[in-house]
Amino acid sequence: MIELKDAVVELGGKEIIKQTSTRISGKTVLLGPNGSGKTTLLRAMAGVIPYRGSIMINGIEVKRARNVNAISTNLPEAFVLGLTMEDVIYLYEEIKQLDGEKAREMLREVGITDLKKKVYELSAGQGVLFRTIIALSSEPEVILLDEPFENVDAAKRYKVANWIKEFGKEGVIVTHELDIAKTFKSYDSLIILEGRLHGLVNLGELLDSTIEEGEVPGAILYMNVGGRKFSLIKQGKGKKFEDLILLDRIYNI
Amino acid sequence: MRLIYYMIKRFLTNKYNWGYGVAFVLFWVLMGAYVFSSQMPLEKTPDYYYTAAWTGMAILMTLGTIGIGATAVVSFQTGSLSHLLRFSKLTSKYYVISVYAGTIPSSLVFGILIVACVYLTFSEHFGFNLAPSNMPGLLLASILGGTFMTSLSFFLNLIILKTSRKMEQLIFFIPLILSYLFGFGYLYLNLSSAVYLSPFTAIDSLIMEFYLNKSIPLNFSSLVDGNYLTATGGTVVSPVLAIASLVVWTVVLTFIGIYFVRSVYYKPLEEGRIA
Repeated sequence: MIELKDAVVELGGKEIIKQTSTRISGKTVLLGPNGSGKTTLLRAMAGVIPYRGSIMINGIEVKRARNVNAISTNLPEAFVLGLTMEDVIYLYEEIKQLDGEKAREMLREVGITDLKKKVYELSAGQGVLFRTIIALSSEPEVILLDEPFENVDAAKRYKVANWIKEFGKEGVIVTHELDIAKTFKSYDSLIILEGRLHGLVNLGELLDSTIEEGEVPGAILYMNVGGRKFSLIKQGKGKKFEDLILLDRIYNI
Repeated sequence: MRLIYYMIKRFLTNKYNWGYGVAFVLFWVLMGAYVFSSQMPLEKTPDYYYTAAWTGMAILMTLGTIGIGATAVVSFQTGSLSHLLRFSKLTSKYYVISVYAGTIPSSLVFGILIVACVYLTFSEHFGFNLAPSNMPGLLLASILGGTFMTSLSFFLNLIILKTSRKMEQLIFFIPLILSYLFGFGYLYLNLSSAVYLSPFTAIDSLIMEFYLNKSIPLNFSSLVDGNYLTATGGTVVSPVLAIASLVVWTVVLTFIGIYFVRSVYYKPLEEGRIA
């Protein structure tokens, strides 16, 4: 269980995540346009950056957590211990209880075989694949994945999606791409807009809903976008949420 | 143990460490042997002191470089540290020990190489056998010196990470800058008992002491007569006090390092950009 209580994350003196409280159990997809604060929130959850308020993961306050091995992330900032991919696997086998054989096998499946390559020399897509595979093959209870499909080939995206379903009991999967999010229809979802979280709602219901301006009674979710209020309605008349494809388009409605 | 092996491998195979810590220092060793030695008399005792003084400076420069390398390691790993110290078996103690352990073999290997080169070049130039008299002592001084430089660099890096990266280009080089200042300061100024307060002069004096296997004057500059070195002097440096000074500095800086590394958060390298 991930629990945020009045959590605020500041970067450069600016509040990126505004006072937010929510409770996440199971795997949840965090949707949001570019610059909405998805990665910042994930960084705070992963203990990479400081925050105010409280972020608890499985009952442990993140800022006070020490040597809890149940959480894995694919955030690039967390992958600078180890120069080459082989180094990372070698070190993570010791400190993260990574299943090295499984990691190598998964890497082979996505065509990454030269493990002597330095992590920073990988292409954008390969980098995402490598980090996501390392995060998943540590067999964590909680996974915190930032854009695990970004720059990844279409065929490999579905492989990654299947792995995400297979590994980890709970966690947050961040994406701004609704087409791949469809593969997680049974999961809960959260929408982050301008630093504020909206949700939780079932992702399938969210994708099938329609967007209407204003506060419509009976909506499954209300959101503030650029100073305008929107309602997500089951089988309404407006634009279907799923048809946005990229969440950034929400500002064009 | 894997992180320790990894750090040892990375420090020993880092070409920049070899470049600045060995090749660049050897250039100065050659200058000391063949260029700056022109006014030295062809007498074994002053030449031996001169050789020992150059060994001290050269090793001090090498250890300073190793310290800078250690700083760079930590500086790049803030994102991993902040995450892994919370969500893995990595502890601050294990991490700090790994960085320290990583620098010890480099300190030893580089120290041996520098001593060997000083011995060969200075002996060849002066025509005497100017071999080091206490090699185990020199190795001990190299390890103690290397560990101190690492602890200082680690501490300085944590200051950067707790404040701003804007000054890091300068702060990174503080161990090397202080090595030059105190190294030459000890040779040419009367630092008196301050020799014990400064770990840099403690390293320098220990290396000279072990190279010669003779007591070194507290005021080394008293040996300089004109441009010549003479082998007479007053009060001598106590190696026990010098070692104690180094150990105390290292232990204090290490404890501060272990304490503060726990609260490190990701600090983007871009923060250090000035343009």
